[in-house]
Amino acid sequence: MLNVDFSQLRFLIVDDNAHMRRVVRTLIHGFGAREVTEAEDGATGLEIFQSTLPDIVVTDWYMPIFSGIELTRMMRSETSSANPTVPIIMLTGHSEKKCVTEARDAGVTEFLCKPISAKALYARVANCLVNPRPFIKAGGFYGPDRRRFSNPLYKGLERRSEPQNETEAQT
Amino acid sequence: MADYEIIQPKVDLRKKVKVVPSSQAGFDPIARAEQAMQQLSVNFNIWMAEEVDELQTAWTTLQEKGMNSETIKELFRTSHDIKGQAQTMGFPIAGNIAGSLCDLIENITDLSFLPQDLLHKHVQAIAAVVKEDAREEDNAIGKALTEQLLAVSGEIIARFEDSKKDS
Repeated sequence: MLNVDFSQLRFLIVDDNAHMRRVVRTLIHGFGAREVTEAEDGATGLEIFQSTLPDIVVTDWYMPIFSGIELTRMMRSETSSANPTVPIIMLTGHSEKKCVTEARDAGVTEFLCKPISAKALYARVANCLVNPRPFIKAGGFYGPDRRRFSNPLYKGLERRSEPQNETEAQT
Repeated sequence: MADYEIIQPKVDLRKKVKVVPSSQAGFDPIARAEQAMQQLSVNFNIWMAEEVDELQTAWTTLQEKGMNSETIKELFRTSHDIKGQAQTMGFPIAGNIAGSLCDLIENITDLSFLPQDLLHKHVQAIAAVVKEDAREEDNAIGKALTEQLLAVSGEIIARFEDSKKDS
């Protein structure tokens, strides 16, 4: 894994659980970052995000007032967000595929299932920085390109915009 | 015309970070973070006890006010917190039981189908595991308890799914 110096980055942690915020803060400080701000719910998180412009946001999914998914959508709003292309890492106990897809479609950059580990969080942050994906605006979607890998040899239909085969087209 | 637009991020974060050669002695951010977590872990027993207190309070409130969307939401929130943190804090069995409790509440959307005694058994089991300091994942009693709760919960969830199909 690449060793990256995070010391100049500013982080925002949004989580309603104080213990979890402390754990995430401890890890991020351990990585070398000095500026870490916390919010205990989505609304406060959005307010801090708009006023302090953090470089990276780490948010929980399940929170009162509004969830991490709603927060992500607001931070990705081209018209009202202070930085709609900010990297967002979603930290959650929901590991089901439908949740990963929902997070991806809301514009989340990286998805991290609990239990959290130093290695896994570091890898997600480093990936946001070293391998940033282009941002795509298409239909109702605004977020990092959902295709992580491009295959120049791929000659099939575009799965997200067109039916894959005749059977699917008829259903 | 393309039906999408490629946006360049406002801030290029690559300019704010630098990749440090792995040969550079003393620079190991993951090891440093793990060490910091180790220091933090002296708090984990107290934190888990606080999480269990919250869960038990949510259960008491549910009993007093009855099972409704608010009381069940609070029970879910507190068990979901335990599910997410217990392993980090060294209580994987408590985390698994909390996960079973979350599954019950998430899957059985009709409150009249949610068996209160089974919810209570989950709360009691989590409290007992933490009180007894049952940390090892292969703790025999803890493991058996988890398996039983998961099995019974699974049956009840399946029965609820069947009843939805029948209606």
